[in-house]
Amino acid sequence: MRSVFVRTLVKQVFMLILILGLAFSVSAQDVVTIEYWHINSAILGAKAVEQSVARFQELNPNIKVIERFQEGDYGGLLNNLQAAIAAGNPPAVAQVGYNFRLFAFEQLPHKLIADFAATDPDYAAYLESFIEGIPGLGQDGTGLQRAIPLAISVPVLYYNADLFKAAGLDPDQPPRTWDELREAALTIKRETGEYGLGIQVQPNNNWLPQSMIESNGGWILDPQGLPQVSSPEVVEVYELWQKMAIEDQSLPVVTDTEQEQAFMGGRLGMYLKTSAAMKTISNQAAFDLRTGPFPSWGDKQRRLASGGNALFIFAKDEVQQQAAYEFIKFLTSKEGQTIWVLDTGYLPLAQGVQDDPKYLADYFAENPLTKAALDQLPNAVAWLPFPGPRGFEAEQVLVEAREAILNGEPVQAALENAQSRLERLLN
Amino acid sequence: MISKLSLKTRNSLKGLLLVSPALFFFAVFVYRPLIHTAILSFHDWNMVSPTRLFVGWDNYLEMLENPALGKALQNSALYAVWLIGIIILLPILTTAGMTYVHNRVRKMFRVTLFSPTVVSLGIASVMWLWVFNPIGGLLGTIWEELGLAPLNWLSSPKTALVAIVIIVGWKAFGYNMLLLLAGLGGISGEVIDACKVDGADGFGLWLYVILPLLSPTIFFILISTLSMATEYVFTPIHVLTGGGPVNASTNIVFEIWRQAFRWFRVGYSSAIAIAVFLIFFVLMIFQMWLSEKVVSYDER
Repeated sequence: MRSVFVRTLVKQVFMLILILGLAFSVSAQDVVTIEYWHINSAILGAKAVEQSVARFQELNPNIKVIERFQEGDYGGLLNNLQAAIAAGNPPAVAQVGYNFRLFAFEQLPHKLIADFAATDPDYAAYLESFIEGIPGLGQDGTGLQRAIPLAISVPVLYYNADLFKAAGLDPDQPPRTWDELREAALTIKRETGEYGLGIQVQPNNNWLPQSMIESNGGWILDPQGLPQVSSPEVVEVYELWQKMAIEDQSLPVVTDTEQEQAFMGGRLGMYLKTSAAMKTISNQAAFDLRTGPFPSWGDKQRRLASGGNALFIFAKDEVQQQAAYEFIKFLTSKEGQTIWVLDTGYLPLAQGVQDDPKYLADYFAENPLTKAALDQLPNAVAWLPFPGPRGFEAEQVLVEAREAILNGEPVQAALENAQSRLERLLN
Repeated sequence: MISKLSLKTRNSLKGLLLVSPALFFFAVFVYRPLIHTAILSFHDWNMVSPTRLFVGWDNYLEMLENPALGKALQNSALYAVWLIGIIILLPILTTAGMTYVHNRVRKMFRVTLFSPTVVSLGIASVMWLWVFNPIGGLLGTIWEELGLAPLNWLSSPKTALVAIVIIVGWKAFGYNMLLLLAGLGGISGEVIDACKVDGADGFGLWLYVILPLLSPTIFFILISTLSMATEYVFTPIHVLTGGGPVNASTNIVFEIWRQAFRWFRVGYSSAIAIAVFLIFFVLMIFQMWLSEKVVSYDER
């Protein structure tokens, strides 16, 4: 009795091994696996990535994409990427934030997109499918196509119309200038007891502050690449920021995740944040959510740092490179962009997709929240890269200045200190 | 052939054979990287560039003028002091208190206090974010109810380090307490009874009899706490504060990591690592001396 059982068991195990072995040998021959690294956390489009990968695999059954979320925004992804490249095991495709693209061009070995021109008969048409000028975000100074832009976002003003009403403010008239913004934040604090305004802050970059500074006519680094952070225009920005935090107590000094939680929980009146988070915020906000344009300084021209990333191919194996290229083409196709935009708040980069009734026309027509982001595209400028071997450290200098200022350090002194440290690091 | 060797040589060969697997792994995973780090500390290298520039003692000299490094060292000591209080002294008191409660209550306490140990530190950090958030977080709400101004736990230089200490303390407290309880269980009842007969009361009994008998356990906890103050705190720092605001919550391991993997100054980071290694080497010798002096390993 027992021996029969053992014999059956052995037989079954053998069968299983045989089947598994066959399955693997077949799949190993036909399917190429590529890894895709992205920064799309739950709030920034994790679902869009999942859907894109699923759809791509459906269309290309011979390519398997393993998507891996990387902690710590574009800085964190780049850290892991550099370590993976040093270890000889990079992902096939990865997002590189626009602020790091020059670094990636120069320092990270990658497969040029331009190389595919020889083998892909649709190459020219593919680049022309983008909105004019967009492919330039993936080109170096000589116009060589090194990467493909995937996403563009701009900062927008999200606001809680219920809190506006409770504070006696007109929810149809969001503040347009920084003076009006400060006033509105203070009113919300005074009338409702809740904080008035949150400004997106990140522990390792200055994406949103760049838009505040450049819109006021200042520079972090001027067009010659020299640091200018103690100029009156920059001082004015951080002085206002500090006043709202300390004098008015209308702006919380907390981490960005905490502000996010607070805003979505209805406890923060306004929130200046990337348009990329629009879908998640609108899904989770249980109040009358509205959006408005990024405020301007008086009547000065706004200059908004375009957030987002370009896709680079780091695969070393030729078959993987080809698969990576196919994947990138899908992500930036009309269908890929539709999946992407619908689940985030990034702006579409493929030409015509936003007016095409087959793709995004309905979405933009029916979704008034997206108007603020779309309207601001003409004001978008490049996201500033900090150049040189100590550029990463230099970026941190301004982050530290901000942290010190929001904790009460005199603005002028903090920025002068930052200026001299930047001069040393970027020299 | 072997039989011709003297007994002594044969024995030492046997010994060598037995330790060789461990020695092999140490050589590959500890000593080789250590030597490699020492070599890197004299170079300027960004980890991906094919060339490494030899810079002599420059990296070591630069350490002298890096304020963030001084802060990181100072914070490491602060972390150690805080953690000694929270996960050594407090568990000793709790353990002492637990000997006076009913067995069933004791079991309940033990489970409750031990459960944080099994939560991953990364998840615990995110969980605590909800507690610390001054707007609508648990602590924030309690603060508000008490009519106090909210504390920006993670964004104020005054509280960021304490916030990290609270998370690590919350997680490690139960584990240390369990070790102490086990140590306590190992003390023979006869010794205690004999002391009681001789008139030792509660406090004296603890101070002169139980604590010295517990000293090996306490010593072990002390060593693991010091390593926590340098290594274990890394996760919550990385997840929650990024070492900020203005380096208020950084520590030495985070600084080494930041220089190497965030700013890609591998040579400079290696120099710091070597310097820290030397500091700990001295501490280790002191610790060995201390363990001879203070800890009583004699049979009970």
